[in-house]
Amino acid sequence: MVYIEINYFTFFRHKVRWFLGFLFLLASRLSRGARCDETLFVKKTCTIANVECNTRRCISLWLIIVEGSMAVMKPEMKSFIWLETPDGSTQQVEEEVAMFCPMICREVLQTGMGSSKNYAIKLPQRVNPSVLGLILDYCRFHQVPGRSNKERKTFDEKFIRLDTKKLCELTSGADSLQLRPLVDLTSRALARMIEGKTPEEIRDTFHLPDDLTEEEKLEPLRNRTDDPRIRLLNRLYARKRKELKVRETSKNVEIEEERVDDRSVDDLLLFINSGDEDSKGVKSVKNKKKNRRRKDHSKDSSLNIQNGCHKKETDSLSSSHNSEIEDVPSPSKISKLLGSTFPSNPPELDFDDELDPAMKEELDREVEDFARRLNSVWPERVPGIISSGQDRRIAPRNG
Amino acid sequence: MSSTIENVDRVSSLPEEVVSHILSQMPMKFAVRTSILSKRWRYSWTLVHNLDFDDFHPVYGLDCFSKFVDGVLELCKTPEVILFRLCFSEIWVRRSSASKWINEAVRLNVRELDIQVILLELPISLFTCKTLTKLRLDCGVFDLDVWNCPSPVALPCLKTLDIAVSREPSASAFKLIHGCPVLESLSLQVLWRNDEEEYNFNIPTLKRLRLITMKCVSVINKVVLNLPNLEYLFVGGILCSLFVMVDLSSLVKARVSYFEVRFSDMLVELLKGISGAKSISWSTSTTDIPLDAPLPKFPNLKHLDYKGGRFWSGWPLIPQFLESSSELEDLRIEELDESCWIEPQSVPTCMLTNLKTIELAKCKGNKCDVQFMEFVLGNVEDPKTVTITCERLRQNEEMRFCAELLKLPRASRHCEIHFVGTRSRTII
Repeated sequence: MVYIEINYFTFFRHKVRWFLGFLFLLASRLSRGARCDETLFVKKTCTIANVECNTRRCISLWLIIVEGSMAVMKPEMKSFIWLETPDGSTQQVEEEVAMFCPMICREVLQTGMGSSKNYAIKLPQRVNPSVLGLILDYCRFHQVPGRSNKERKTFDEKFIRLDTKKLCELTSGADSLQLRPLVDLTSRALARMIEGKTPEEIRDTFHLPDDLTEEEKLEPLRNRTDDPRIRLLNRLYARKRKELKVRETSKNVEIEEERVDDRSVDDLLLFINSGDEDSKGVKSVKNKKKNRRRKDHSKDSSLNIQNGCHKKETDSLSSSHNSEIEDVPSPSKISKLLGSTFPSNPPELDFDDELDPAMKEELDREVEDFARRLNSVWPERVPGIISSGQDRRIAPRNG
Repeated sequence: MSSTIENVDRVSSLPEEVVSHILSQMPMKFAVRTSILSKRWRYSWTLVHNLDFDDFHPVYGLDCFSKFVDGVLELCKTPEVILFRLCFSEIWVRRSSASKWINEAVRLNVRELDIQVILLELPISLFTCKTLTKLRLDCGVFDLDVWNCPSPVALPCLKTLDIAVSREPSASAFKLIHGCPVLESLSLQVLWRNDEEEYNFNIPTLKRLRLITMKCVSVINKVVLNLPNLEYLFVGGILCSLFVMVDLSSLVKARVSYFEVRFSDMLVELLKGISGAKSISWSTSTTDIPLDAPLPKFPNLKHLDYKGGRFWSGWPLIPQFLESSSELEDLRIEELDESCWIEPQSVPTCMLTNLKTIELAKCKGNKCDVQFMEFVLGNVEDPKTVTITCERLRQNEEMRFCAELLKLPRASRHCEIHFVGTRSRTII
């Protein structure tokens, strides 16, 4: 490959035409001399950038030829690599240009593909023909070893003058072909576009959706924790809040009451257990809750427990809980609740999958223990609460 | 008004590493700002691997700034930091804060550390960081207490070291240097040398050395260079040391850039030490001190880049350089002022045989320039390129200079001068 580059020359006026003529003559001679079919011609021919008249006798002329390469084909065949873009079309590219991309290079060396049209190397999804064209231009320039750093830099600066759409596509394509220098170049260009602008300008340039609410924008960024226990707790709380909302809107008093009961105990135990960062109580509470749903009316006891404990820890629960609980006293169910065992049920909730059976049993045991301890404190409180709520409660209960 | 028909958001669909790569190329404050662009960008900045903090747009004061850096370090999710830069020239952060941040960076396996803060205290973890390859410490002039270097320094990957110390480099800088087994590039700036301590550079792996002394007392010290693999040497500042070159056999390029020379003998000694170089870049003032001793011979010198300055005249040394370098091929003279050009007795050998490129840059069209060009054009046998660049000259002055150059007789028929003016270029 013969590369002809002419930086700038200054000529007298009468020599200009001569020089241009010489250049075209040279080009045509070279192309005629080529034996092969294909000849890559100068991409951008001479551009007369600056013509100035200083004196009558001399003119300064700038001739800049950049990005031009004339390929003079040697008699032996050049090797080509066949590439296929996602839209199905294939093209052949000179070997040294294509091998500049690591991904293509690997494909050729490992699988031997690319030698013919039928065995063309399939390019990744993000490399459409226009992007491929740009990438090949880049490779074609940079794979020539003899270039100086200044030349490469000048080429890069001109190359990167694209609109944002093309720039993003180019970044995407270069990344999928693992062409690191080009990814760096385009990233820097995109970074420069983001750097100095206000957020509105950035959104405008890149057509980003403005989908954060005003309060989200002002909200300080939270440390999204990776601790699974904390995540679990958070999920539980979220679920409970959801259920609370459901209960408020639900018209079925009985179900509501039941659920209130469950939730209150859960919350209570949660609150008590959360202090030592142990979510075991939480998990067991969940199990309890499910079991209670299956059991019929074995929950009155729990209600009373809740009442008692609520009296102890009213701050932890919202006022709405309290008002509902006072509606549902029934002492007889306490012992039933405490005495019963809770077989491990198939989990309703997704995260229970993380628990292994041994841990579940241990949790159940711990909960029982705790409930028993609670029960021992309970008796003095029972009378007061039961009497207050019993009037309102008894009638629906019998249904 | 949008001219694009498809207003598709392409940049958000780029893979996460590419997005974090893009955000890594800008200072941290801009990267964090992207968190309010849209949902997808809310936490993208946390994967950025270049943490670059500067106070070029100082806002909100010290407290807010410290909180910002703390916040970023806390929320940052990247497993490995490649570049960590603290570049504060206006804000005086607390020593403890800076130390804490550096410690955090070391914990995140930082590779390049660039600390330019005014008050500096370094955590011990920095000196045993296994991943560090590039370190720059610039404590600024104000820090009179040089940071302390603990005894066992082990930086197995450090290749580039750039230190500026206020004084007494032996206590800190040299200890650090000795703890780097694979050091390749060293830059040591001594802001104020106040003793006659000897600087001993004995680093077999070193390829580039930059040694600058900004201020010093009137005591000479000794600088010993035992650097068999050194390829590039840059010495500058004030010449107040005696250079003893034990081994500089690989030297390719040397740059001598002193603005003050205490004793001319030291300069000659230095030149003797770098006489094996292939390329010398010279911008040293020698007005006050005439060079008595002749210059050593430069048998390998092919490129000479000679810079003058506004306050000194560089002309006298040029013929001496030309005499001593018989292999010289490229000569570049920059910004020499109006003084006089003294023609040497005999034509230097290089002019007759090897000199190919001559460039006169930032020329003012003075009389001595014309005299010099007369000498050159009259004697150089086979010049390939002769370039004269003028700067900030008025049009008519340029034309006058050009005309005078045209009149000069040329030894070679094919000699062409490329005259680059402020607005035009011609060949004469």
